[in-house]
Amino acid sequence: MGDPPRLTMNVLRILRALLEDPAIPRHGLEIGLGAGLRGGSLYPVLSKLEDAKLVSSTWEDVDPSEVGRPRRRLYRLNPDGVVYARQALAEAQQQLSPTDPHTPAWGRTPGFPAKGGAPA
Amino acid sequence: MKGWLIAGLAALGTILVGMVKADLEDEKVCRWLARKLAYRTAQRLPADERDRWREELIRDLLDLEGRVAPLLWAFSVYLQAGRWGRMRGMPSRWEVLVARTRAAWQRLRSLPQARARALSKQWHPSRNPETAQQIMAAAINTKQAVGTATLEVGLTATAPGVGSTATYRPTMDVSHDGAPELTHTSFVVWLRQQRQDFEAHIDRRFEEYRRARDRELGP
Repeated sequence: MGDPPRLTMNVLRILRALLEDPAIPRHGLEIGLGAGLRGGSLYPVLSKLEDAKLVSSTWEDVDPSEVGRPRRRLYRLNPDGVVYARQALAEAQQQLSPTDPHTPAWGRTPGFPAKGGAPA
Repeated sequence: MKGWLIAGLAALGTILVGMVKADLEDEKVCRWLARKLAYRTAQRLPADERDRWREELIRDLLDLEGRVAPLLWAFSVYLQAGRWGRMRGMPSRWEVLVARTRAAWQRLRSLPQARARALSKQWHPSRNPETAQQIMAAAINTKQAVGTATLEVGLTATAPGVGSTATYRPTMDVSHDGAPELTHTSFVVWLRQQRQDFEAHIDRRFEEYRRARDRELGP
């Protein structure tokens, strides 16, 4: 596995979309629509994940003249990628779930008491 | 005057907006534009990845239905193309502009030197028409000298004393590009040796033939 990309919301969304069923390869547009991302955010992240060897991609093994459409590029999480994605999503879930439901994790100030509770 | 100018610009703008709007209402135009944007996006990526991404982007555009969706998808990819290209190791447009400007400046600065080199070539004696004629004449003389030497050696070998070196022109001493650097003496000696070897070979073959014929015919 290469250097993993920085975990941003877009990366997490794509990992989550790919993790829905890691055995099924998906094409870029399908991943983008599943992750709720536009193309401009999708393809750079996919290429980063591919560089990090978390995702592998291949051309669809079909004859375009037989199926009557051009082939697609299919992406799939590698075994390392599945482990990494699960771990990253779990960590993100933990960080994003606040102890106080009214205050998000990034809004809490150390030393100040959360609403109706002990100091954060 | 100012009022007329504003009115004219407004009219022109209205016409242009109407034309663009009419074009964008055509699905074929939108798809063409989306494909163009995909091509331009791929151009911002490293050369070894362009074909793959171009094919993939255009393939994904085909799956998007409607008139505006492919255009928006392609436009969003195009907007991120610069960042994506830099991420893949391509220089930014600013860096390309700076490099091109610097190269143009270097070329501009080296122009006087290039002109001096061109003039130097132009003024070289070999470019002078009279010198060129002299060089041609020297080359012709060389060919004649070789021919003459061959003829003389032949005459000397077959009839010693007949050959004369009086007509030999010693231009072979001049070394030209690609010509053998033999002095006229060594060249003549070499030719003579070749001729003698050849004649000795012929004599041997003739003697062998004569003996074989005698053996066949008997005493």
